[in-house]
This record gives sequence, C-alpha cells and structure tokens, in this order.
Amino acid sequence: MTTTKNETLGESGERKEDVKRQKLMEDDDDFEKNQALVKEEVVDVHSLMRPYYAHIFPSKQLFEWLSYEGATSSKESRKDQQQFIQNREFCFTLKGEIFVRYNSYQDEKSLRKDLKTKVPGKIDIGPVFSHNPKNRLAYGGSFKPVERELVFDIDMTDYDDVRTCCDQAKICPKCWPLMNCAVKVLDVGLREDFGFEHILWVYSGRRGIHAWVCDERARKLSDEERSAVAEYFSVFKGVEGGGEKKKTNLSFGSGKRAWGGGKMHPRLEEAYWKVLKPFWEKEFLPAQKLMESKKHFETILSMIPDANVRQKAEFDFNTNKMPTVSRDGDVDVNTWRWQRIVKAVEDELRGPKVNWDLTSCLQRIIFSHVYPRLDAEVSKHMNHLLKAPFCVHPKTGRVCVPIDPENCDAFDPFSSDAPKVHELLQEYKKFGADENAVKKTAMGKALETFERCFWSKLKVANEEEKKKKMMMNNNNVLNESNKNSNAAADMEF
Amino acid sequence: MLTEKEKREAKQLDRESYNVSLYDQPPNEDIKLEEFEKYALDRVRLLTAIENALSSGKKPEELQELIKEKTKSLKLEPKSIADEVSHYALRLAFCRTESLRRQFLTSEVQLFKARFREMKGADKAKFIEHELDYNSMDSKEFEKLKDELMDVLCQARSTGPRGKDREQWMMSEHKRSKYYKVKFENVYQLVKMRDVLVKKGFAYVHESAVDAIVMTEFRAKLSKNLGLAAKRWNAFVESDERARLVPVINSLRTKELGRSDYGSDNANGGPSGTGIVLNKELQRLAEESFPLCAKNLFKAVKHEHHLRHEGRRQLQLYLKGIGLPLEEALVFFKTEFTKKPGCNNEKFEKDYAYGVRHSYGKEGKRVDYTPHSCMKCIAANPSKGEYHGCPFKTFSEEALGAALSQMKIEPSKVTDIVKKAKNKHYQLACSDVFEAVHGGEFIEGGLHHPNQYYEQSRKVLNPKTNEDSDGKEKQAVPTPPQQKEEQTAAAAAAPKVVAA
Ligand code: SF4
Ligand SMILES: [Zn+2]
Repeated sequence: MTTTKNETLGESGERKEDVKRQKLMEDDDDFEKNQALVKEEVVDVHSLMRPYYAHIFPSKQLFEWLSYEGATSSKESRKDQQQFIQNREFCFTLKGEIFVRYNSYQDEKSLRKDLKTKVPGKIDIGPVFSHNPKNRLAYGGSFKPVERELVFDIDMTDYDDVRTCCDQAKICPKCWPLMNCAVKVLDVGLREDFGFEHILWVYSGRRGIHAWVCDERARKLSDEERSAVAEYFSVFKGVEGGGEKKKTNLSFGSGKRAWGGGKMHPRLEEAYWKVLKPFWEKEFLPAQKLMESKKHFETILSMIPDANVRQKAEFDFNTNKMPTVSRDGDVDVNTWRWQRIVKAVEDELRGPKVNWDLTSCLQRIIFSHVYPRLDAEVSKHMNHLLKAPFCVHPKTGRVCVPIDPENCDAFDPFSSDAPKVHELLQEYKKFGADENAVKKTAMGKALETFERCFWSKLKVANEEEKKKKMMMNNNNVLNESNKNSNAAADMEF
Repeated sequence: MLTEKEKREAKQLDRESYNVSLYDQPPNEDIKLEEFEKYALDRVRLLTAIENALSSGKKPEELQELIKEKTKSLKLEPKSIADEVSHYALRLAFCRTESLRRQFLTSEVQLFKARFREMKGADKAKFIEHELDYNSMDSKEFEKLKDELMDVLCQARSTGPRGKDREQWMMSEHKRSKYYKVKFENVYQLVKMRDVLVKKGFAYVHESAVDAIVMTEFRAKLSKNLGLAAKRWNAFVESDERARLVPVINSLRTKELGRSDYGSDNANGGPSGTGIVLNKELQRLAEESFPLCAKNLFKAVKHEHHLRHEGRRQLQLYLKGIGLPLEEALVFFKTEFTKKPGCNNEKFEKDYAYGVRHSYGKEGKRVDYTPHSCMKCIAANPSKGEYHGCPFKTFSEEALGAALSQMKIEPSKVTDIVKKAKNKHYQLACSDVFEAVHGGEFIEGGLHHPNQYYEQSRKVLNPKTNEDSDGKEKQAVPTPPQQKEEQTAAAAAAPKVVAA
C-alpha cells in the first residue's frame, strides 16, 4: 500500500516545484523520506485501531494474566489484589509518537474504556510500582518499581552481519529460523537451569521475538539478578572491524582433553550439540549460502587459527570445488565446504603439536553466527517498558501473538499465524453476529496458543499460591496471638 | 535426630567458634550510657583509621595488619559486646544521609573482609553453612552432577590457579564437601560469569568462590539495613526509652564525623554552608580559600576558556558546594567558554549548559550530586590537557613546587610538602598547605574534602559569618525558577521503550 502511494506521488509531481522539492528531499536526507513513508502507514494502521480494540483485542486475557491472582499475601487479599494491578504501569503511544506514561487501571473495564478513548497505536507494559503510578509525584523517592516479569528481546536487526538475505528490519523465511533457534536455546535454559515454568513467547509483530518469564521468583528479581541471568545467556559480544572479527565470551576448560578439558559451560555444551550445530549445518548454511559469499567465507576463515586449514578451505572456494553428485546427490555445497573444514581441523589436531585455539574454533564460529543475540539491556532493568502481547505493530499492522516454544518451527510470521489487523477485522465482519466471532478469526488460534502454552498452567500456579498464602496467614494469626513481645527486636535496625 | 533446641544450641556453639559477625542480631545486653558512648567513639576511630589507610593507598596486607592492631588496642575484638554494640550505634549515627551511609559501608566492609581472611578453613566452612544458609550437597546429587560440576570448575574464570597447576588443583578440590547448594539469586555474580553450575533455580558453588560472595552478601545486607534504619529513625527518636541515646548518637555524627556532604544546600544558602557566593567574588575566593585542586581548575578555565568533561564536572560540583547558585554558575561558564574562538552562546547552550544544570540536579536523573571528595579526586587519572583530580598526585615535583611557591609558601616548607606528596600522602600535604597559608591554623578532624578545605578557610579568614556582613547583596540573587514539574519531569525520565 505504501509503495503505491509513493508512486502516485512521484507521477503526479510533474510541476517543476514539486519535482524540485522531491529532489531536494532525496539529496537531503534519505532518512527523512523513509520516515515520511512509515508515517503514512502508521496513519493507515492507526485508523483500524479503534475497531480492533472494540472487537478483537483480548483485554480480558491480558488483564487477567497481569493481575496474577494469588500474588498478594494479605488477609484482605481482594483489596490487595486490586492494589497490585493498579500499581502496574501501562504506557500508551498515541498518534504522532506521543508517549503517555504511568497509566494504570483497577479493572479490565477501565482499561477497555481508556483504550477506546485514547486509541493508542501501541501499548507497553511497565513494572508494578510501590504505589499507584498515577499518584507517583505524591510519593517522591519512595515511588519505585517493585516487581516485573523477566523479559527478553531478540531482534533480527542484530543479526545483519550474518544474514545474506535481508538487512535491518526486514525478515524472510531464510533468516527467520534464527529466531526459532533462539527460542529453543533460551526456553530450555530458563526452564532447566533457573527452574522457571511460566514463559510466554511472542512474535513482536515485526522483526523479532519477546519472552515474558512470569514465575513469581522471576518477577521479584532485582536488577542485578536480572542482569546476571541475561549475561548468563549472552555469548555473542559484537563485531569488530566491519564485521570481520566476531567476539564471543566463551570460555573453555583447560587441561588435557582426555579428561573433560576443552568443554564449555554445560548449558552451552547442550545448546551446541542439540541446537546450534545441527541448525548451522543443516539449515543455516544452505539457506544463507555463507560458504559461497566471499565476505562471509573470509570472516569464517579469519576465525581459524591455522594456516594449513585455511589454505585447504581457500582452495575449495577459489577453484569452486563442488561436492561430487555421484556420492551424495543432495549435499549442499555450503554444508559440504563446512564439513571439509571440520575434517581439515580434525586432521590438524591429530598432528604432533596441539594448537589449543584450534580445538575450539569450530565452536566459536558457530556460536558467533547463530547463538541467540539478546538485547540484554531490555532484560536488565525492572523499569523497562516492553510492548504488550496482542497489540498491533504500528509499522506492519501485524499483531503481537504468542508462539508455542515446543513447536516454534511451525510458526510462520508471514502467514495468518501473525495476523494483520485489517485481515482480522475483515474476518470478524464475516462472522459478524456470531458471539464466538473472535474465536473464528485468526486471533482464535493465537488465543488458543496463549491458553495452552502459558495461561492454563499459570492459572493453576496462581491458585496454589493463593491457597498457600491463605494457610500461611492463618498460621500467622495463631502465632501472633501467643507471641511475647521481644525486647531485642526493638533495636532491630 | 537432633531436636530443634539441640540444633539451636549446636549452632550457638558453632557461632562462638568463629570470629566474625554478620551483625544480624542486635545486642541484647544492658550497658551503661557511658560505655555505649565509649564503644561507639572507639569504633569511629577504627573506621576512620581504615578510611585513611584506604585513601592513602595502603596495600591489602598493610590494611590487614593495621586492622588487627587497631582492633586490639581499641579492644574491639570481633564478637565482643563492644564490637556488637558499637556497630549498631554507628549504624544509627551513619544512616541518615547517602554519603554517610556509603562512608560507613566502605569501612565496615573492609573490616569484615580483614576478619574473614583471618578465619581458618574449618571455621570458615561452619560460618558458611550457618550464617549464609548454604547447604552442602548430598552424595546422590553429587554423583549425578559430578561431571558437569567438573566441567564448570574447569572452565570457570574467577577461581583457582591457571595453566599447568590447575589440573592438580582440581584433582584435590573437586570433592563433594567443597560444594554448596544455594539459590541462584544469592550468587548472581557467579551466574553472570557462567562460573557456576545452575540447575532448577539452584547454583552449585565451589568453596573457592565463596569468599567474594560473602563480601557482597555482607555489603548488601548492611546497605539494606542502613536504608531501613534511616527510615525508622523517626520512630526511634520518639520512643521514650531510646530518647536518651539520641543525643549521644547525634553527637557522634556531628562532632566526630561532622561531615556534611556539601550538597546543594549550600547553593541555596542552606544551613550547612557559608552563604551564597557570587561570580564577582570567585577570583578573590579562589586566591584566598580554594584548595589546590579547585585553584588549578579555576585557573585552567580562566586561561584556556575550556575544560574537558571530568574537569567541568569536578569544578561545577565544587562551586555548587561553596554556594554558587545555578544561575551564577551558568553565567560563569558561559562567559569563560564563549571567550574561546569557535564557541558562541548557541554552542554553549547546546553542548555545555545541560552539564551545568545536571551537576545541580536539574537534568537527567535529577540527583543532587555531591561534590567530589578528596578520595574521589585522588582516584582520578587525568590525561594530558585535563586538569581534574588532585594536583598533589597529578603534578610533577617541579610543577607542584612552583605552584606552592606561587602561593608564597616558604621554600623549606615547599620541599617538605612536595616530599609528602611524593610519598603518596596527598591529603597530608594538602593540609600542610592549608596550615602554611592560614597562619598555622589547621583543619579540624583531618582533610577529606575540598569543600571542607574551603569552609575551614572561610572560617579562619572571616570568623564572622558572612551572613550579617553582606546579607543585602544576597537577596539580590534571583531565586531559581521552579521547574515546570509535570511535563519536564516526564520528558526527562525518558522512557526506555523497546521498539519491536
Ligand atoms: S587533597 Fe583534597 S583538597 Fe587537597 S588538592 Fe587534593 S583533592 Fe583537593
Ligand atoms: Zn531474510
């Protein structure tokens, strides 16, 4: 839609002045022009937001989730419950990139009402604060965030140096699997290592994915502890020299290889063997054709600390050596070239003198290309906003929908798996009077994923938490009544 | 099976066997008020000694020795009543402002560290299990995780020897008894480095990594408790039976540790300062009363009409501390900076005005930043073309000698002072300068802050508070306009929004 508008603009701009203006704009600043284009789409998507909030947006589910019934511990838990959700910040982005921070709601009804009147293009979710954010000024310094889901943000833009298909905000089926790779690595790690169970994965609506870790323990992590978890999962540390050198913070055991030396941290070992290595060899190399691109091939070579191996690989590349079809008909040339490198490294290592760096270079190459690249800053602070699930991406019109982590390969962001807002509204119209109309649209599937992969389990946990706290409260009442005042406690500072 | 009571008693016995306290139980004994005061003052002496040792750059071993000695001479043996009581007394005395808390925390952590280091292996293990609630691993779990634990120990960067010796070290260290099972949150530093095995929310920590953790734990707990103490102070003051302690505690703070943090109270003509200062007075005051660090920056900005970031920061905060209002500071820096070719008013507004306002807590996080202490200045490492830091450290011997001679200090004293500076006793050297230019008057309680230097100097040179002398002038100073609260505050607290 944008392109057509742009073309008409160009064609109708025949008057000299217009042409001149247009020219000026191009010379002046490409960026500005892009901005202009994007804005047009914003307006377009924006006009659909009102009906979207009115008919389709699942504010009930969102609100129910963020209320964490059972999260509070008081005897008057109903009142507390309301206070808990009331202290949660919702940030709206209104038309024209105006941020309205510190909105808060006591119930779903008031949220819905506000959505109707303000019609935000985007909703971000902030932390639960110590007090109602609306009254924050009255509390001064004691107003601060007290809890918030542990969140992760992974953007395809951070993979530009390893993608040959797209760049920046663009994604395509050839690079999207990088995101699946990230889901697989992180989801297992969060569950197995940290014991988290309630993780909501969502497609951001444009070029990446988010994870919301909602276990009570995760929500209560301090900023330092969040940073630690984020760093635990951060391996790739950026590129130097125009994408030449890729840095990782891998560390390998020292000592003799014979007794376990050379291994990485167990989490990384598992990620490597179960996810990264197969993905790299079978999916990523053929899709991105890295071993056919001079630039990427050279980057890989530069990470091999052995001249013999490099020479062999270069020979294959320069003579354009191909796998012989007779032996294995469907071998991809990229995979094949990689396997030749692997073999060359192994041969070299069998030699008399061991080059320790060489033993780990294959791991370093694979990690630096396909290991999840977190935007760690997002995870590190409780007080950080993140786009709410189910809201519409203002630039693509796609809805931010849940992904089933067990089955992430099946999620196709180019299909109705990630429905566009105008499609949803059309579908909705079709089912019109039906009271289950929303369920019959593509949103139905998204809600089913939400329920099955996330909410159903969280709901049970909330219930249990509630019971536990009620019991504890009862006990406390008992204890309190026969407790003597403790003199020492007076001085407790 | 031990009963609860037996367990408690066993724990109590263990507690007595190791010589370090986390101060998690307030002392329960009755003591006399005089004792209370004496213990508290003794601890102030101990902590001050630690602080001074730190700022004069003592090595860890020297510090360790010093702490041992002082502890003995002041009779503050770990876990004695005196030790416990004095710690709690000082918590109260130091809890009231951020900078006092930081000061207290730093010295207490050093004290704890020194005591922890003195502890023997077996005692250490008992301490870890009882005080920190670390659990040892059971053998079934150890069998299951043995190999992974080994892999982690092998690749961990933060502990154990490197290179050839590591193999030997690991052979002897990789035992069940050497591992502890703790919530991962408690050892987040190790988690962050991936230097620990993490399973289902628990981290399996090797003994060799515990020391560092204990320190952070101690620091975190104390820091939190200080915050709590500050909050509860009022309630404390009101309770009748405590009321008699209050004057003692207050005097601890004001007399012995009377360290104002030189915040913007001064720039607002607040109580702790010596009144408001105006631009036209700066030149004179710089000559009369600035310590060398501030003099140096002041001279640099007058000559070069520019200062790099760190220098601007140090000078701005210092000037705020002596009572220069924001408006005056803006005028001062603008006048100087725009004298430099290539810097017009517009550039100043764009590049530098923000920084000035920031220093005054009117931008960014709106924190009322405190002026740099001597320690902070000394810690700085200015490069060529920068003038911040402490000149006693940064100047060459010749340059320092020249600067002192310019201040009309006699040659024999100059030699002395330069020698002190060369031996890294920067603050002592600076105090000597004070003495030399103030007719033998010296700085009460030792020099620790450039603004303290200034205030003492004003007191000596101008015993009447300048409040009566030029009160009228002061009223001519425009009061800073109130911020347009709502909008600007929201804009300043720029939301960290993640674009998807
Ligand atoms: S000792 Fe302190 S006051 Fe003296 S020059 Fe150094 S930093 Fe400034
Ligand atoms: Zn692509």
